[in-house]
Amino acid sequence: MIKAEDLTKRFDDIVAVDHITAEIKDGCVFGLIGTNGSGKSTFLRMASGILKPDEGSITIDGQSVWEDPKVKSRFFYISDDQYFFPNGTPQELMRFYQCLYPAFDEKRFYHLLDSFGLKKDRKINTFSKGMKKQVSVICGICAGTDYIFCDETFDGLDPVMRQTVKSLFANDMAERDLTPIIASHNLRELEDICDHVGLLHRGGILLSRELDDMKLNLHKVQCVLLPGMEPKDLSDLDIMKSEQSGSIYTLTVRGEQEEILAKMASYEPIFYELIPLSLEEIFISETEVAGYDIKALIL
Amino acid sequence: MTSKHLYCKLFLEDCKRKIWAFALLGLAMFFALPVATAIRFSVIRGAFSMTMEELIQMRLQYAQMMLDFGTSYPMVRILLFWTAIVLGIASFSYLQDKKQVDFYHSFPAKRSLLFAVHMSVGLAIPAAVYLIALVLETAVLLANGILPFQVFFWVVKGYMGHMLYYTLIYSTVVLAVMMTGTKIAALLGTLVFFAYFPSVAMLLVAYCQTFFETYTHWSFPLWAGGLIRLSPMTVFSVSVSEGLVFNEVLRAVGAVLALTAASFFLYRKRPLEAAGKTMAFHWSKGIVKVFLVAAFGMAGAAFFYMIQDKLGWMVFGAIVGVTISHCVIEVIYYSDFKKLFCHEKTMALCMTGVLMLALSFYFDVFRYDAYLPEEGQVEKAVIDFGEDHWVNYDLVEFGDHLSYSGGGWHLITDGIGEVQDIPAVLAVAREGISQLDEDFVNEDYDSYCDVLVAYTLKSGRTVYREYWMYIDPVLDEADRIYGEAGYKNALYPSLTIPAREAAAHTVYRNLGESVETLQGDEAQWEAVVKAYQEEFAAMTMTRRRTEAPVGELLLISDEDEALIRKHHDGIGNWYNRYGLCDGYFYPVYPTFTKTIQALADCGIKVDHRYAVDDLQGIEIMAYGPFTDQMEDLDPNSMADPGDSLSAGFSEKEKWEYADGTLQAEATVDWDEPYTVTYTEPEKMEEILRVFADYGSRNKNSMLLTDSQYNVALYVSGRDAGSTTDGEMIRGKVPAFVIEDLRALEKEQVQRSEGGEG
Repeated sequence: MIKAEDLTKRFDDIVAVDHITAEIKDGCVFGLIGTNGSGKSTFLRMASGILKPDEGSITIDGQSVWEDPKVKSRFFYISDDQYFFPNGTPQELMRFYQCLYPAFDEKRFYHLLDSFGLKKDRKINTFSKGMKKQVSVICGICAGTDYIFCDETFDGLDPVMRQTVKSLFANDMAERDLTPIIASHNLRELEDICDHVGLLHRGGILLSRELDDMKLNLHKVQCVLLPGMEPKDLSDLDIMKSEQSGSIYTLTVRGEQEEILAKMASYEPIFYELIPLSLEEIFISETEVAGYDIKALIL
Repeated sequence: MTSKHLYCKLFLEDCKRKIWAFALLGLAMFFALPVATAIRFSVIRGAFSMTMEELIQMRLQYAQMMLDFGTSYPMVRILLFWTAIVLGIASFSYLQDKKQVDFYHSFPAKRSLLFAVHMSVGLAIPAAVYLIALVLETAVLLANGILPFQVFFWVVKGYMGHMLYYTLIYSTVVLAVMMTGTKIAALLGTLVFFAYFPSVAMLLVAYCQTFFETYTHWSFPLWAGGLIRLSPMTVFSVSVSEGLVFNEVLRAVGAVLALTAASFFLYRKRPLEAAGKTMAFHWSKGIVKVFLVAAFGMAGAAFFYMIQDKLGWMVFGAIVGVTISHCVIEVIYYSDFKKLFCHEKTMALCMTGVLMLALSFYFDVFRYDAYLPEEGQVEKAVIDFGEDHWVNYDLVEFGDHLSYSGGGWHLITDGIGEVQDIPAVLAVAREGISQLDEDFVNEDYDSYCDVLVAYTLKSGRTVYREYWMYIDPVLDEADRIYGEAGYKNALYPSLTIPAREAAAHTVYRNLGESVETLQGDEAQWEAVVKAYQEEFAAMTMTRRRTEAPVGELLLISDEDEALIRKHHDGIGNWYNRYGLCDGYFYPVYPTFTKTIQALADCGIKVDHRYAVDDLQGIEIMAYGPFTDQMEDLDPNSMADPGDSLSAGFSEKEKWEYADGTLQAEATVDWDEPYTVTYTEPEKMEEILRVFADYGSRNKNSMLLTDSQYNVALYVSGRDAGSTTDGEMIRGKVPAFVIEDLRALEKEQVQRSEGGEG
């Protein structure tokens, strides 16, 4: 488990990460969401032992990451703009990583290169941006580490490749309990892959939740109420937001699905139904409660 | 994976990344060593006709030149110097790029391991390439008849020496990289490390020389020398010219260790987000800026003062220097032109500091020139009157050459010849200080001495001062110092050579520089030396002002004589040999009666260079006015020749512009001296007795002569037609000469008055 406690990093007079406390459980996909400059990359660079925190600590299973090769050998870090040796080929890159990660799976590397249609002896600097990302992801997966830190890795991948990478992650999570930590500014990218999401804003963490918890506890109800009734009359429901279009109300309600249905039935509306919430809508609701305009933050 | 294993793997991987360095340096070394040697050997073979033995000997000499650590073949040095800069920056350039920082520092490896890998690759590449080039060079030598064991010593010495200084320069560059965040900044940092301290040393010396009248360059090695040696470049060049001296090697090794430790410390402390910024450490920004701005400000002040020699311009230079350098540094720091004046308080502080420092030199605020220690503070005092530079005190063999060290200064540099009479030294210095007063005027420049004083204080500090001073007011003190046996023996090392030892080599040389061998036996020669040493020990400075040497006696030790003989016996040029012994020929004064008698016993007649019989005549030329004795004249009231009644003439001169119009018109007085010529033997004898040829001053620069009278001896006989020029000892000009010249002067006056009437 990765644990950040009171983690803080300043660059001159800019507070990039401001007293963040969070936990990333093993075996899940942790999505780190935030706008540009919200501190995602800085958080990951501290988690990778590149930057030293000014305050607080970041540990993996209780061991500090900073200057501990044993701990650092448990993760593979893919930066948002990964460095490749000048004139280096994927094969040379693999040889280099083999020095550093003894569990590097060479066979799988060649197999994945083949699957992704990448040539092992072509110079990486002749690859497209997406192809370079693919090489990095392949290296990361084949390194055999417990964690893989991806900083905006999905940015630049086409939808097919994104699905492929997601399935690779899913496979490794199932097979060897891999824990991917994915930082992105695009909420929609993470929707179908993340189990847990942390929302960063201005260096601080706004919320950190299990996606399923959020989905189970938050529902959208579309209804037509009895004449003379308004959403405020539905006092048994924990309504977070209400919108009206003609006689149709769209309510965002916190609570269990059955409980909401039962309460709605007790008010005998003319019509009502539950419709699914997107991750984006969940975030809008959650952050609005916290007093933030999520649309301005991440959409 | 063990650190050792990982180190090896990463080392090899990094070597692969720097294959370009192997290739470029390898190519350059290939041409600089084996190819250059092969070409040279081919030239030698074709250009000279010589035996095989001679050919191999010549090749061996060339091989030494190519391989040894020294000045003779600079190519290897130049290549390694530039390689050190390029590899120093390339080895840690990843720290200056965010992508690479993320890449390298996310690895499961400690920073110490990464540092060791990159540092050692930068050392291993030239070490391997140079070694391979030396192996190829040895193969070329072998093919030309030179066996490896013949050059082994030079190969090892050259390799170790060059690699040591490569490491020194390389580790300095690495330190500059650690402190900066871009390649340009690293290069500028390297330049600062290479040039800052020598430049500051030169600047301070320039200030001292400009503003302090008593500053002496002999104190230079004490502080400026230390500053200069803070640059690896100067350390390298000094070591190359002086050879691999153990202490220097030790210092270089110490410097390498210190620089590497500092680099490692900074590497660990370096914030990795510094990549791309000019300076890696926030704390270093201000320090570096203040040091650089202070130096540029001082340089600006000195530059403008040297151009205009005015205080106002000095202040202007300081302001300009500080402002421009401060602005440029800010722009470099922030890469933003708008930040020119972003730290105006620091700039103002620097300007105030620079102005205060520059003005403190100008006004001698710290009273450098007035420095005179209390007698109780002085542990030891050494003084040199600057009158005995002819003395040789140290003879050193440098390969095919002999190195001589001139006398007098060595008392100061070596701190020997400690004067017991410290109050006398302080009295001389006090007089020197008092003569710095603007009101002090004395134009009798023959009586001036360049006095150097070195005080070793009880605190352990040594203070040097130099006074260009009129010595007469402290002649008694000077005599007391000069009379001390310890002082004199240190000043004239030959006085302490055992008489028997010196007698074995002694010869007499007259002023005509012809050498005469002593007759008689060893006991008589020893008697000559003993008499001389005794009489010279009793010589005073006051007497030296009135006596011109009449000849010279060679006083040399066995060791020095053997060294000179070794170097010149082969040539068979005895004159040349004695010419090289010049610093061992001591002056014989006419009052050294015992010495002259002892020489006479050995068949040497000590006399003037010329006898009356050798001369056709003596011509004396002089400007008026004439008195009975020049010593009665106050030198300050001495009339200028132009104002005197000379045997000159006047003529009208015109100056015109290019177009022929008149620019100026004046009557110009052309002065000509009065001339009298003597052919009478008695008068010539009298003149010869007080004659001092210009050469006699070589061994007694304190001799006072009457510069008003120029004496020319016209030689007869075999050397007929040649002349010997000189002057007469001051105050001893024969009366008949003055009378004759006065008569001429009177005649000229009457003629002038008659003409005017």
